[in-house]
Amino acid sequence: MNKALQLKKRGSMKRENTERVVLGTLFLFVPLAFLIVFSYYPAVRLFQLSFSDWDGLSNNFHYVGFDNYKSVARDETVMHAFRNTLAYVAMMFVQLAIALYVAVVLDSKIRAKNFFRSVIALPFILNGAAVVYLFTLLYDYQASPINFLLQKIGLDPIHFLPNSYALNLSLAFMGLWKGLGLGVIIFLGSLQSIPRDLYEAAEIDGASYFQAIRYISIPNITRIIELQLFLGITGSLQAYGESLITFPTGGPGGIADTLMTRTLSIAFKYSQFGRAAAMGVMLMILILLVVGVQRMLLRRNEASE
Amino acid sequence: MRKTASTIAALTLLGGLLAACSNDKNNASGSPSASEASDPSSAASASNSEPKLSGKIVFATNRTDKADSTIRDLADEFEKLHPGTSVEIEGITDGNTLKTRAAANELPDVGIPIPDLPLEKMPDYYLPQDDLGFSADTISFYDYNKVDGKVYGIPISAGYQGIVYNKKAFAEAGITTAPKTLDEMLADSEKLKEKGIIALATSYKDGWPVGYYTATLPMEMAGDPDWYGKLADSDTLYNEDNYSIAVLDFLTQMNDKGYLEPDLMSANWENQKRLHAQGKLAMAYLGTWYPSQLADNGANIEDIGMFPFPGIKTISGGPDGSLFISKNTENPDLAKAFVKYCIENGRFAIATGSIPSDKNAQPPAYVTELLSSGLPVITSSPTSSKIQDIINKGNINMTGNLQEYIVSKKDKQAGLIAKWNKQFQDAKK
Amino acid sequence: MKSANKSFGLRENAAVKVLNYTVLILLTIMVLFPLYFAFVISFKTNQEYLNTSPISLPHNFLNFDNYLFLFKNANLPRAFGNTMLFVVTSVVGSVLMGSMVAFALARLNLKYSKYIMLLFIIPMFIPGLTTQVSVFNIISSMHLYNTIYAGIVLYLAADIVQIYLFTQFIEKVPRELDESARMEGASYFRVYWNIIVPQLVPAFATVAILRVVGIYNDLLTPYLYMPKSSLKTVTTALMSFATDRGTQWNMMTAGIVTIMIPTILLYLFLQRFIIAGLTDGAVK
Repeated sequence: MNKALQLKKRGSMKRENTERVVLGTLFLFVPLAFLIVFSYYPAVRLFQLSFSDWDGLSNNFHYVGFDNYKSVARDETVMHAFRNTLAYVAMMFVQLAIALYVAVVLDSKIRAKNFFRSVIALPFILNGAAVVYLFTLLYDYQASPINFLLQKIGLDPIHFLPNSYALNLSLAFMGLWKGLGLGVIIFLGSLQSIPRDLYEAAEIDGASYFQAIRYISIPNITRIIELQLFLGITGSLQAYGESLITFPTGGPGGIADTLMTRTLSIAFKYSQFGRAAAMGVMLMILILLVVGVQRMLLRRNEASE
Repeated sequence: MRKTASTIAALTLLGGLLAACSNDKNNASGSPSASEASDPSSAASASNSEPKLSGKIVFATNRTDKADSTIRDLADEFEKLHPGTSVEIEGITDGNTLKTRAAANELPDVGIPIPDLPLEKMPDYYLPQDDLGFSADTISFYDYNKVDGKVYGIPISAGYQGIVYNKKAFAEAGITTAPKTLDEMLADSEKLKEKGIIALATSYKDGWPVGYYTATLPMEMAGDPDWYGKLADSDTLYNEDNYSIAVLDFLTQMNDKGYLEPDLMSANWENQKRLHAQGKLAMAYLGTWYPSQLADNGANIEDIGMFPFPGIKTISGGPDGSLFISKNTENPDLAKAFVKYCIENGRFAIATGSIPSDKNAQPPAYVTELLSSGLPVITSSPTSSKIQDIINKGNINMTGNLQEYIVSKKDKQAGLIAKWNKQFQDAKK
Repeated sequence: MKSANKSFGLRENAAVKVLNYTVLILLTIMVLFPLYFAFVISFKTNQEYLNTSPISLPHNFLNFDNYLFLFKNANLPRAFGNTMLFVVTSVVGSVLMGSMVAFALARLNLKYSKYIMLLFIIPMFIPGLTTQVSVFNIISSMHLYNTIYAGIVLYLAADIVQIYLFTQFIEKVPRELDESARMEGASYFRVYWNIIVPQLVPAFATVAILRVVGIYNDLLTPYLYMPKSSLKTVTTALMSFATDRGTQWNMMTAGIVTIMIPTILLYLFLQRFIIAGLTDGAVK
């Protein structure tokens, strides 16, 4: 290789490097700016406010150290709201289990597959607030068409919103109704990407339907299960719409309060923005912890398999 | 208006959150604009002598239900009277957004006030309206928004609290006169129950309709406009002397005997109005703004009456919405002319089915019936920051407490009162 | 992926089959029942709703009174205009930004691309609602409050998270394609524009659909940042109408149905795209 050519190549490499960096910077600049301004700055500010006594109205505030964190940790109503929120988390697990089951069924030979898939997936595109409104009607003891049908066939009407913890499950069910379809679609997509010859081989080896699912389907979609769990946990820990629209005041004794509605009322209703910010930060940490634990558990499972 | 607006309730909380941001800008931008509009009276007098008006104003109303119908008609008539003017109507579902808008200098030219705005802060945001030609002789509760001798908001309608009842339901149960004591009310409720009629509505699930039992009713019972503010000086939030426990126990009794909605957890405002209009429900403790909403739900307004809550000493009354003019308005003359137009002859109140503040206008029969009891009318004093601070610090939720109390077992109720009083005392420290 | 549509042929026994169908049918009923209910009530007059059973068919399916009233009173044309504007700017913006970021991170071999990717993922952990206070501060200091730009900017910002989706898509474009183009002397920008972008069309469709559904159903942004009635979107216009008519379930359900119809139509016609897009995006 003669020198001239080598030089030329090096020159072009250099040019190429500059081109890459310049184009990369250009392409990344605006999105990163958006990210910093609308995601990171607000988060940093949240963190800052969590150490203050800001009331949300005055021009200034004092730093109060960890007082907000301590008072939140000691707050009975927050613990109560946390327990209520667990109902949403539990319902999310049920939702994922059903979604996985339905996806497996739809992945097998079954009639009217597309029909079932389309219908079950439908609610996820519907307006969230409209869905909650619709359920307030379904849950209304007197107006509920479900109770109407129950009475028609001689059964007792149901208290869909009982004055007990179960109420939170009713509220969380709205989320299941709306979210189930998306879970099904995503699981189904990943199931269908599993090479079919794996199943054929299993069939030749005499594997049963359940064995095929247990040893081929599930292990091949752990990543998707993990992703769904992550989205589900972050989502359900932040649940608020169902509760807030159905019980604007949190219900008697805060029976329907979730972590998020509690945070909102501490901030707005009681003008304790510093405390609310501390709750926001704690919620963030909680989410990170849960996701971290989840990753660890799944990793260990994978390793053991 | 006072309707559930449940999504909006959700957003209310957020709106409030955002209102928080108001402070930064308040001082910076508030003062220069104040000097701009330093002499509003001269502008107004000009409008009186020279009625030629022009320009555009934005009118924000909380009556979103009428914003595109009767209120629009009212504005159209005004525009016709004053060619070259334009009034844009803006429906405000949640007053708390006004806090954020005040911060951004985006207050509508004319509209309802910023919620919870202390009296002394009104001059920071609004123009005085003493030059509109109204006075305490012509307008009910005219002095309610008075600061340093100037009126900053003129009541657009008057409101009184009482029990709204369906006469048909009473007739069906054979009740001929309104109950005068709590015992009579219980007895009447029994009669209603026997006919399968819900005696008293709470809209328990929605919360806010029972809120009237936490502050307004005890105030009416005590006959003291400062009832709420005085809590700050009391050792306990709930006690026998301030009637708060009496109210809780009365509602508990009503619930235990089955006189309230059969399923409290789904008892909501929408349903209440429907049942009340149909006479399947007899009574609700609310304001004079409520009967017209029953009429909207199909009730014949002649079938709706009002009487004072049995056993109270005074009737709570006050302005039911006032119109304020933003300091930053570019067309103060037009804004004032429009306010005047709305209030005169109770035009706006009539358009929205509420009680005119204009004393010349004839009030509906149910108002006359309520006031014919002869009890004195008192107006609750503006909320003091002292009690508000305690409520905030302790996260005290009196409505939520009431909801919890009336469904709790007798033996648990004393414990609840002790717990809430402790919470109150801790917050006072 | 193409072979994916074939089901695997393992035979399950009859009992399992019965169970499977039962569950599917029950779920179908669970989904359709509330919708059916809203639909029939929306055609009933108020008297009819009060006096007939909640599940019976309306006397007259041509009774569009509730809908007519809705269209007359909810000022929809303007709301549709605003919504369209947000959808168009947001879709164009997110498609451009998303594909640019994905290209930069996946193909330009930048030094810190791994960390930059992480930067884009972290915000998924931040509870969005609690940070609204600061977001509001930003919008108001930019003087965007109560202007149409507040919505435009916030919807653009919201798209950032979907960049993740684009990187998933771009990985599937064979590297040989851009490498051969490079050999022929194409600049990186040309590679992006002429090679990558055409390959990403299915991804664009997916993101576009997700944006449409997201913006169309969003209540918070217009409500909090653009309270002016002239800036209402379809959803806020209908929801405030619905809450005003909350007493009348027939009106309310007409509102609910009207809000739902556009997304349902979109879903029916573009289902294939939506489902394929979602699964492709999710499956690594």
